[in-house]
Amino acid sequence: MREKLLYKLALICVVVGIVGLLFLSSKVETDKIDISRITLADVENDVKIEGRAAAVRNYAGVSMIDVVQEEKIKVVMFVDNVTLPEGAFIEVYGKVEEYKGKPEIIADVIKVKR
Amino acid sequence: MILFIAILIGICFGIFTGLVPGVHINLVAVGLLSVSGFLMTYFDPVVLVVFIIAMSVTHTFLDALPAIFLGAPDADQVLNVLPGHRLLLQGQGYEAVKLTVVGSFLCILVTVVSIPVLIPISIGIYSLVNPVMGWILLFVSVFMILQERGIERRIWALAIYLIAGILGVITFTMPGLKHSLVALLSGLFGISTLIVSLYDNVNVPKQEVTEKIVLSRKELAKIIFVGTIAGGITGLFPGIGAAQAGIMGGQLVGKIKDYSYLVLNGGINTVNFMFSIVTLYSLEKARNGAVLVIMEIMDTISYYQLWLFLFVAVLVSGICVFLTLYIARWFSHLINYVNYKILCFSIIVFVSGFVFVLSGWKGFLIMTVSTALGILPPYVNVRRNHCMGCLLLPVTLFFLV
Repeated sequence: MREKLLYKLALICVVVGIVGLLFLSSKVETDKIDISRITLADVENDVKIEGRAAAVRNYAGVSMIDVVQEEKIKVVMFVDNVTLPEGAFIEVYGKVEEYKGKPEIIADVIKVKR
Repeated sequence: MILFIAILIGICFGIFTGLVPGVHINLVAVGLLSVSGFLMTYFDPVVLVVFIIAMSVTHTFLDALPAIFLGAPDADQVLNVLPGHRLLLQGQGYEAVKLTVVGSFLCILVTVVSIPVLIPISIGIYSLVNPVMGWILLFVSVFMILQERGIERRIWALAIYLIAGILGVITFTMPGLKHSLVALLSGLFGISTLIVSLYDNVNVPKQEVTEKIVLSRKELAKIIFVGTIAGGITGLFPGIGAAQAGIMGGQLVGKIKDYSYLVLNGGINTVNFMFSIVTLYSLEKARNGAVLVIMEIMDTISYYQLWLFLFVAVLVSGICVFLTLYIARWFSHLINYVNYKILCFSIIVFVSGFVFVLSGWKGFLIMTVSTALGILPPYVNVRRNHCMGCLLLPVTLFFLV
């Protein structure tokens, strides 16, 4: 294979790659979903939710936060201490798990939005 | 925009891991995992995965450079050392690198185009072979040993395979040893090769940047096809790396020249990584360290995400063609002026220090023992890839015992 042909193909790939990325980049971020739509069918799935932190309870090695939209869901994070401003609007990224027949979210990341 | 920045940073890290012998992408990926919780407060997990893919693809293109110019391969480039070094000693180091680039680049394109077919095939094959995975791995090990000619060489190959395997089991079960794989593989494939080079009195001739080597389209097509299949196999079977797939691929295409061998191994090395992303999507299994980290960050990947990652790989591979050949030209020029022995010695000191800092005295001890074992194959005239028993034997035992 001649070097010129190799470079031409590589250039085509760069262009195709950039176009493909621009096209797909808007479709791949984890979608935020409503708390009301999370059911036991979502167990083991990664989800992203937003809502107000209604109550934060800290125990040894674990913190629990009630996140409220129109409905409420329990968010569990395995850290010693979570401090959030009263009524903070937060974004939670984590995995849905089942606890006592209800879905809850085991959080990987909690961001304070405002 | 953030995706393109992640790609750019990933390429920079890939250049570093690809060019410095002993530094593997797994190391950076694990480091990223340890700070992923913090990073995910600012970036979507997809951005972190794009970084890992850009770094890994860049690494698979650039790791041919130390393998060919310095004779210091990582585990995936073991088979490229001899043919690559032969060409280097004929002043054709640049051509040798170009052949691995051709293999990597074309195999990536074939893999991406074949994805819609590869996904159902990989699921079908995996469901068939999974119940007998341990026996297949054992067969691969026996097959590799029987590739040696003569009873004496086969006995040596078996002994090296078993010693490497026992060393692997000890390393992976040693309490308190961090980054054990770095220590093990640096000794078996990196430092040992450099020490052999030091004692072999290698005189590197003046390197030429030419277009002398031309492969026929028919031969190229055959090698790319076999490279894609063999690389795909490594994505399905745990413990089988690019070196083992290279030997099997070599059997499939029959007797081939050094030139074709470099194309084949370049292709297998890259397809190996690409296919492990497909395996993550279709089987939810991780077949190498970097993909294991991707799995930790994302758990599962969607169909759109799979295609995004494949487009990242296509974009990065296109960039890497220019990048690798540019650096290879620079290497070809530089190696005429650098004292080869001092260079080898400096790399040995750097890698040893790196392992000591990373894994402590236990890692240093593992590296010393594995270096001694890695020196053995060239002296008893068997292939160094039997040292891959360090991974194959523990994985085989995991499935069979």
